[in-house]
Amino acid sequence: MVFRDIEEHLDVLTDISLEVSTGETLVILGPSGCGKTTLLRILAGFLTPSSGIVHVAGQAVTRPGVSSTMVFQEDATFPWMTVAENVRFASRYQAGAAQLRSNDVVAYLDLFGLGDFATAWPRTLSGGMRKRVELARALASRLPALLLDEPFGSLDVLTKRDMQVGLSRTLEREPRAVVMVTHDIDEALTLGNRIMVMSPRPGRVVEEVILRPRGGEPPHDSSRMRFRERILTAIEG
Amino acid sequence: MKLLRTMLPAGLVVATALIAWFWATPGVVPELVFPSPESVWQAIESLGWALAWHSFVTLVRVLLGWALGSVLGIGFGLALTWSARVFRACYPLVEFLRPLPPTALIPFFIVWFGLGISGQLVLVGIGCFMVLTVSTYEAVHNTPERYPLAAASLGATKWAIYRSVFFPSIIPSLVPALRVSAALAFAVAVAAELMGAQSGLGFLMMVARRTLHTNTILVGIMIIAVQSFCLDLAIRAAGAWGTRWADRSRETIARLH
Repeated sequence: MVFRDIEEHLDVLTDISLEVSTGETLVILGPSGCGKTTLLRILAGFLTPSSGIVHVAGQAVTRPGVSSTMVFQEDATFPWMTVAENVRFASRYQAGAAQLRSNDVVAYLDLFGLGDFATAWPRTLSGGMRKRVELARALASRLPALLLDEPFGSLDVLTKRDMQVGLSRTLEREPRAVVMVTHDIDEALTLGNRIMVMSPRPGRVVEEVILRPRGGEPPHDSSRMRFRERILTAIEG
Repeated sequence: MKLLRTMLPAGLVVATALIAWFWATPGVVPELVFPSPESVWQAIESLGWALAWHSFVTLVRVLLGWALGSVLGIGFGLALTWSARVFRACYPLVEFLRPLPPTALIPFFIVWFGLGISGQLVLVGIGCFMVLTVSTYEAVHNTPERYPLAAASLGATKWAIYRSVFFPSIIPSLVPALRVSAALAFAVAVAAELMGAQSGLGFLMMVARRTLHTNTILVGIMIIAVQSFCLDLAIRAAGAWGTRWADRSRETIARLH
């Protein structure tokens, strides 16, 4: 896949090819401005690649929200909807999908420990809780692919660690094909099955690290250090 | 207790103004310059049901013109953001007409629509329409990109994004615009009645001006102020309910020392 910014006459992404299976998390790492978010937006259907094609579950992606959903770095819970309404929104515009019933909404909220906050307004929740609402909403869409654009980037270290553990557990119960962009190597090592390292613009894959099989445990200390070194070397070029 | 604390400052200001009024008129300030409370009461008694009728007529003109102009303004503001073609075709005209005071159009409207209610409604409506068009357009553009993107990534169509994202997200910006346009609606309606109408508080005040009945003029002004205040209160109450989800930054500011 190639993406060229026509207005700026810039090659943003070049020779990108990737495949992710259900239950697998692919983490994309790379220096700022290498096109990670652009790649994610192409996968989501917000941008059309200059050449190449994106397929999810055998269907070409032509517009967003049909086969994948995205969680953004910034808080994107809808503040004018309660927590439960935010989650219910996930199924409202899914063609052919059954609307979420109240029980389903509560079940998705319970996955993230938010069952008691169904009627709360997002403004009354902490940043970490709002991010959990977004993740619950994304999973409630029941779309096969989940795209995460630095979802924990604005959270403090402790909240971030809790969220990573929570997301891992939830994805074991509700497996999806996950592509995640992050700057945080430790986060990539904790959550990823594979890590793809991109070069500075125009972004291309310079290293691919296989961490663990689907359902396997994250790497332990010694191998973690080894992977870390390998990733850092690839990022620094 | 909280209500008392909230109302006390305003109550003190009103009480001071009333005491000053009772004290200064008619002794210190001549009746013609500023009528006394007794003379205002006499004007109310002598006008009787006619005063209620004229007040009702003005209020109906204001409410209808304001509602019509606001609804159309919000709709047109959304249309400008919906389609780049509509924007390119219409926005320069909006920007050109926006600074024109609606009252400058009164002579034309009298010629086009006569002295009936339709011309006054259109005139009031135009003023509100412009305020709401620009406010809606700006509010949609100020909606953070992440909300429509998040909705689209959950399968929402453009129409659904307007209904579920843009419309609720712009309400906090529309409430002040609706308050401004309501005040403008009173100003335009009364000005239109002053210049060409057979009923309404503006008409009543114009007749009183000719006969130098300043007490009747003051009664008209006071009723307009009360009506305007009540409408503003209603908009604020509806706005507070419609934005109960929003950040309470005003409460936070009030707690600052």
